[in-house]
Amino acid sequence: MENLTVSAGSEELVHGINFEIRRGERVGLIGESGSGKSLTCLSVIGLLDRGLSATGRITFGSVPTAATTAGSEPEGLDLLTADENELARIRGDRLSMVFQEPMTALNPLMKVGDQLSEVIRIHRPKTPNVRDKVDELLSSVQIPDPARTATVYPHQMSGGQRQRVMLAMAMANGPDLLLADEPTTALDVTVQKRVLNLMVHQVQHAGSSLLFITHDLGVVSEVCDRVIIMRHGRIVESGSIHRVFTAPEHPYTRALIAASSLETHPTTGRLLTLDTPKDFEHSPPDHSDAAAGLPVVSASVPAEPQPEIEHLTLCAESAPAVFNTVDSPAIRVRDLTRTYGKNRVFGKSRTVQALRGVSFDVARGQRFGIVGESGCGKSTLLRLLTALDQPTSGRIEVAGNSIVGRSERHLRWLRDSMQLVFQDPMGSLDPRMSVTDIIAEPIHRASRQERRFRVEELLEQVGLPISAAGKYPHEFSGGQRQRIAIARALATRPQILIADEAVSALDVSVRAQVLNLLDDLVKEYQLTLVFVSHDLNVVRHSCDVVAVMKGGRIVECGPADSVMASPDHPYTAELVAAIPHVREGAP
Amino acid sequence: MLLNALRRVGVFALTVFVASLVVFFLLGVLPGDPARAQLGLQASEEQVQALREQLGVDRPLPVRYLEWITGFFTGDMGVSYASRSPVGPQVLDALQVTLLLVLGGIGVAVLIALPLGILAAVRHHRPDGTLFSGLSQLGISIPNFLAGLLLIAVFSVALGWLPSGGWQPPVAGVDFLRHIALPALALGLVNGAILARYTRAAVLEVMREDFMRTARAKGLKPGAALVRHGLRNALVPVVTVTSIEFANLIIGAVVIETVFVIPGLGSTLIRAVANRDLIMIQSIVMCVVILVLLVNLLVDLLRPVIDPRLRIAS
Repeated sequence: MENLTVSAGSEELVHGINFEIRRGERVGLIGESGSGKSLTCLSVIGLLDRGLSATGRITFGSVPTAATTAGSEPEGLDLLTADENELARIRGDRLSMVFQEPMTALNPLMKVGDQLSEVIRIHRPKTPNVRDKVDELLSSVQIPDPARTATVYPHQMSGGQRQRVMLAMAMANGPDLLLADEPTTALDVTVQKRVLNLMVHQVQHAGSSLLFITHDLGVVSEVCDRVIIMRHGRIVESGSIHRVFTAPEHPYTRALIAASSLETHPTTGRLLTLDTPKDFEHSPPDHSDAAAGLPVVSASVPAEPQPEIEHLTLCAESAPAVFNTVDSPAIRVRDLTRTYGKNRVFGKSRTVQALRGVSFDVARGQRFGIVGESGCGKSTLLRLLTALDQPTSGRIEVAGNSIVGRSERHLRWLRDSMQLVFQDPMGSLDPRMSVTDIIAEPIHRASRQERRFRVEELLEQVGLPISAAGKYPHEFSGGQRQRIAIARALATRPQILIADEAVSALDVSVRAQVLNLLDDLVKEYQLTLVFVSHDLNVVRHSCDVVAVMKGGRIVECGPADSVMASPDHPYTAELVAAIPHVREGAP
Repeated sequence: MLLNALRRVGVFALTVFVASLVVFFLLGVLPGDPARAQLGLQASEEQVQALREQLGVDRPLPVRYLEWITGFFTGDMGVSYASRSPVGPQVLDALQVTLLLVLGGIGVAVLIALPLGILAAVRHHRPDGTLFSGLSQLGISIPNFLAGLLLIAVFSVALGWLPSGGWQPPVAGVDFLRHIALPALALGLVNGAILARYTRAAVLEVMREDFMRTARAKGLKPGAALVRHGLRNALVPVVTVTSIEFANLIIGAVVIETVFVIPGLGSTLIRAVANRDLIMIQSIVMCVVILVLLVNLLVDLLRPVIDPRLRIAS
C-alpha cells in the first residue's frame, strides 16, 4: 500500500499511509474509532461507501506463487484502479473478508449452506459435489453436524457459529489475503477465543496473509505477528508485536497500551488516560481540575472499611447459596427467579428460565460487579433490580423496602434513589432534547433556578464545560455522551447507581477516563455501585466484589481480586483464561 | 408453522364475526326507514307499517341479525327491500366484476411499482433515479378518477383504440380485455405510484444492509448481489404494503366503476344507499370486509414463506 488517502468530499480521513503485508504474514491494524482503520481495510477490497474515495496505490499479489501462476490474474494488480469486473473476480477468491457483525452480515433469507456454496460457485462454477465441499468447510470451522447446519437459516445459529460460517465463507477458496474487520468484537470472550484460534489456524493452514483490524490490543497480540498503530488517519507506529508491546516508541502507543491493560498511576491509583491536547477544551484531563476538589484516595483502598467478604462458589448439589451477605444492605435479593414465556394451550409450552434462584446482598457504599456472557441473565437481573420487570418469584429489597409487586406510583422513591447508566451512549440520550433538558428531566419538580444550578454543577462534576448545557447529544463524542448520561443519573442524588455495560462501547482511552470519573463520583456521592459488564478486567478494577453469572445463576462471588486471581468455579476459570492479554514478557 | 397458520385462520374467522356484528348493528341504528323510503312521503302510516311487516324490518335487531348472517353464509342473502328480488345473485355478479377490476389494478400497480421502485433505488444518486422518484410522486398526487378521465380522453376519444366505458365478462375474451384495460390502468397507476415509493424505500434499505456488502465481498457484482440477495429481502415489506393497498383499490374501484360505467359493487352500492336498501348495503359491505380480511390472511400466511425468521421455531 503506497500513499493511501481516503477522503469524504474535501475532507481527508486517511492521510497517505504506506505499509505492506508479506505472504503468510498476519498483520494487526490497531486504532480507536475514527482512526481510519476500517476505511483502510475497505479500500483494499474496494467496498468503501459511496461518497468516499481512495487514492494512492494498493498493489495486490506481486509475488507469484503456485496459486497465482495457475490463475490468469495479472501480477501486481492495483486494487484502486482495477475495474468492477476485475475486483469481482478476485473478491471472495484471492481476497476475502470477515465483517464485524455476524448477526447482519449473512443474508437472513438464505440457508447457510446455500450462502457457502454460492461463494464457491461464483468463482468455480464447475466444481463437482459442492454439497460435500460445503460440509467440509463447515466442519473445518468446527461446526457440529455440518450436513444439518447447512440447511438452517442464520437466525437459528448463535453469534459465534455465524462468525464461523463467515470465516468458512471467506476461506472457501483459499484466499491470498484475508481481511478481518473487528471480527470478534460482538462475541463473548470465551467464544472470541475459540473463533480467534480457529482463524489463525485456518489462515496458517491455507498459507494466507491476514490483515486484522481491531481496537483490542489483547486480541491482536494473540493473532498477529506484526502491528500497525493508526491514529487520526495516520500510522503512528508499526513493528513486530513483541517490539511494539514491550518497547513502544510513540507516546500514543504507550498510552494505548496503558489504557487497554487498565494500568494505574503508581501514586494516585488512578487509571492512566490519553491526555490529548485536542480534548483539553471539552474534557479536562483526569488529574487536573475535575478531580481537584477530591481527596486523592488510592483505588486499592476502599473509601470505607469493608466487612470481610466471603468468597463463595455455587456447588452443583447444594441449594443455591446466598452470596455476599451483610447486615442492613443497600440491596437484598433472595431466591429470585424469572421465567419468560407462558404455558400454551396448544403445542409445546415454550419457557425460558432467565434467572434460576439468585440470592445476594450489596452493602451500602459497596461497588458490586456482575460479570457474565450474553444470555447469563444479567440483563434480566438488572430489569428486576430497577423494578422495570416483575420477578416470577423471590424478593428484592432496596434499603429495606420491598420493590416487588409495587405499582409505579409506589416506586417514586426508588426512581429517585436508584439510577441507571446504559451501554450505548448513542441510543440512550434523546437526540431531540438539549443536554440541560436531559439532565434536568429527573428533577422536573425543582424550580427553574434550582434546575439550572444543578445542571451546571453536574456538568462540572462530570468534566464537561458549562457551555455544553445548550447543545444536543449529536454534538458530542461517545465518551462525552456517557458523561452526560452519568450526569443525568446523578441529578436526583441517588444512593445507588447501576451501570449496565457503561464503558463497553467506548474506546479504551476514553474508557479509562470514564472509569476514573465513576470512581470519583462514587466517592463524592457515597454511591452504592452495581456495575454490570462482560469484561472481567474492568470489573476487577472498578469493583470491590464481583459475582459471576452463568445460566441464570450466580456461580461464584467474592472479593474482585480474589475471584480473578484464584477462581474456584470452572466457568470463572474459563472466563479468566479467555481474556485476551497484551503479550508481555522478557525482551 | 401449521399451528400458527391455523391460529391465523381462527383469528380471521373471529374478525369476520365481529365485523358482521359491527356492519349489521351500525346500519341497523341508522336513521331512515326502508319502507318509508320506498312508499314516499304521501303513503299512510298503515301502508308503511304493512310494508315493514312484509319486509320483516319490524322484528327485533338480534333476530334479524341471525337470519341475515345465516342466510349470508348459506348463499341466501335475503330479498332486496327496493327491487324485491334476491340480493345474492346481484351481489355476486357485481362482486365478480369488481374483483376482476381490482386484480387488474393490482397487476398494473405491481408491474409499474417493482421496476420503477427498484430503478429509482438503484440509481437514486443519479438524475434518472431522481426522475423515477419524481414520476412516482406525480402519480401519487393524481386522483384516480382524473387518471381515468385522462385515459379516456387519450385512448378512447383521441386515438379511438379502446372503449370509453361498459363491461364485458371474461368469456368475451379480447373484448373483455379491451374493456378492462383502461379502468385497470386508471386504478393501478395511482396505487402503483404509491407502491413504487415503498419499493424504492425497501430496496434502498436493503442495499445498505451488511449482507449486501458480504455479497459483494464474495465476488458478486452489484447487480447480481441485488438480484440474488437484495430483492427477496426487500419483498417482505412490499408484500405487506400491497395487501394494505388492496383495501384502497376496492375503494378506488367504486369511483372508477362510476367513471367507466361498470356494473360492479360500486355502482350497486351507490344505488342501494340511495334506496335505503339496507340488506343490500349490509351484504355488499360484508363482502368487501371479507375480501380485505382474506387478502390480509393470505399475506400473513405468505410472509413466513418468504422470511424464515417469521416462522416460529419448533
